[in-house]
Amino acid sequence: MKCNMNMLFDYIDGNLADENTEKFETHLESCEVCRETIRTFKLMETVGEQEYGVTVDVVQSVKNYTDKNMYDRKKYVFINKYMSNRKSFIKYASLTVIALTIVGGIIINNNHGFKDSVKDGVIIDAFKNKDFDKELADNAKSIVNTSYYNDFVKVLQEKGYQIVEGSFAGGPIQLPQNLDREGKNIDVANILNNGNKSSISSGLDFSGYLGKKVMLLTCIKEEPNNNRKEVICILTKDRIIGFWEEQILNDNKKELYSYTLLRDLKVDDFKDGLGNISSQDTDFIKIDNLPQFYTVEMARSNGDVLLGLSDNNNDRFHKFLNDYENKVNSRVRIAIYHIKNDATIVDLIYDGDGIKAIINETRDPSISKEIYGTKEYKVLNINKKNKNNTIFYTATLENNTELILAYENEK
Amino acid sequence: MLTDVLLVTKVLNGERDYFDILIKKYERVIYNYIFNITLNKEDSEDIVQEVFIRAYKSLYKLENKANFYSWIFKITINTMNTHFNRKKQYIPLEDNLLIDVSCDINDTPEEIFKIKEENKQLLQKLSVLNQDQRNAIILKYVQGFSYKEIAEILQIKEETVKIKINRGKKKLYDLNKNKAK
Repeated sequence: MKCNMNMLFDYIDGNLADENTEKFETHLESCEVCRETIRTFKLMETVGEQEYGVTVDVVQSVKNYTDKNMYDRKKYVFINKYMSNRKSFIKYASLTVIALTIVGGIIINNNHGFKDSVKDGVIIDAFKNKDFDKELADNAKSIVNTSYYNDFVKVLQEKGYQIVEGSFAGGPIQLPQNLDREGKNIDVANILNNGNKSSISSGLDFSGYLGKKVMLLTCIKEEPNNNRKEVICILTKDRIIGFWEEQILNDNKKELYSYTLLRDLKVDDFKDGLGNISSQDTDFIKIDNLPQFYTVEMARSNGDVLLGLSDNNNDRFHKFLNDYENKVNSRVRIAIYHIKNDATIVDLIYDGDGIKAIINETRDPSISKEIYGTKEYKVLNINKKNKNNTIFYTATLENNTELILAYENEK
Repeated sequence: MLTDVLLVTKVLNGERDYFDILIKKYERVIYNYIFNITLNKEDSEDIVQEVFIRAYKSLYKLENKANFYSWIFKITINTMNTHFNRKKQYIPLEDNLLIDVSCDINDTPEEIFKIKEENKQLLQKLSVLNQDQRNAIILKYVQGFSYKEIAEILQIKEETVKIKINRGKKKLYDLNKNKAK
């Protein structure tokens, strides 16, 4: 018998028919190549059976390097909480950045700011009723120009819904110009058509928003029998314009289908030219060219503002603000360290037109690959806020995210 | 035994301590997997810690909670890739890397040496494969995952897994063939 690779691997996998096994084993006696290959695969099995004891306390190190309250739901919403406790401030800063990335930008609504309005909001009371889903729909319309968004998310989470990353992280989508069931986006049209029908029955009609950039939010709740309930919300900057529910049977295909379709609508927010970095700053290493292990010491000696650390180069930040007020081109780099050498780096650049923020998060291991990379945002506002004798500087980005830049004690 | 679904749900609901149970449940298998590939105690320790830190931080992204096991392998492979891209080497072939291998206390020095030698030989063989093929083959033959599970872990189609494994097999076979010549 000639050496036969297929037979060899069938033999290794135990799939060789009995009548062939004998033949093959005879061949084996004379074939070193087959014997050696079998040995390699046997060795793999043996290696897999070896057991080594774990020589490090994983439980403890996870405790040391993560925020144990990360999944305390309130923390996602009551960002104010962090403002009242300065010790937690580093956490707050990193949370903001994480929020910025996962959320694609709306965890802090523009109107919401740092007001303490969440706790005594009317909306929360309305949502406390048992019959959540109807209540939510009825009240969604009245949530206009309030801190509605955070409350909305909070209620969803309290009711056991989880925000689905695919839609939420995508942030803005652009609704198609029309919902005609024609053309290549026929499935999208179907989803939106049906969605709007059911949304209208809840009192919200988003057909007036076609062609507009909106925000898509999808939430999932695990139901008995492996079914899932899905809530899809369409939001604008200041209100919920569409809202419907779907019962998803345990059929992953369908689920995947509708997400990918809606995701196709995603707008590339950053496509528009935002101006080039002014060439006068040759001493600046481009954000993408910074070393992967960018230590606190390196950042400090480069003159980066170090958020929340002592000796934080905050005067650089003030120089930048001064330059901005005096309309002088300027830039500053801010490094936000979470654990160790995993800084999120933010460049603020003022080039005469306006400020833009370039954010690089490639060093944060908790951020998934899809959102790795450098992103550029327009800065709408730089805000200064005084809270408990600490002054916070934040930037409102074009996607209504508030990004913490620096903080210091009141002088 | 608490199911992964329950454990993950508890953690996501703010009951942090349940993550410790998840760690205890899986740290051994993850550590062993890493160790079998790196043969280096320090690297394995670093990586296993990073894996669970990453897992905790991105737990909310886990869509199907029942898949925690394959999901954590996915993280393990990504973490190892990052780790070794950083170090610019994947498989340690130098002898000195094997010095601090920890083995079972009951093993005789001869046995320890034998295990080390075997692992080393195997890794040397597997180094003819590219990274994808190697991952797929190791997951299949060392860890005993099914094609479907491997597809989930490597985030590729089941058919692609089969192709990768078959190509890997052929490479290993050809390697032995060329040696025999």
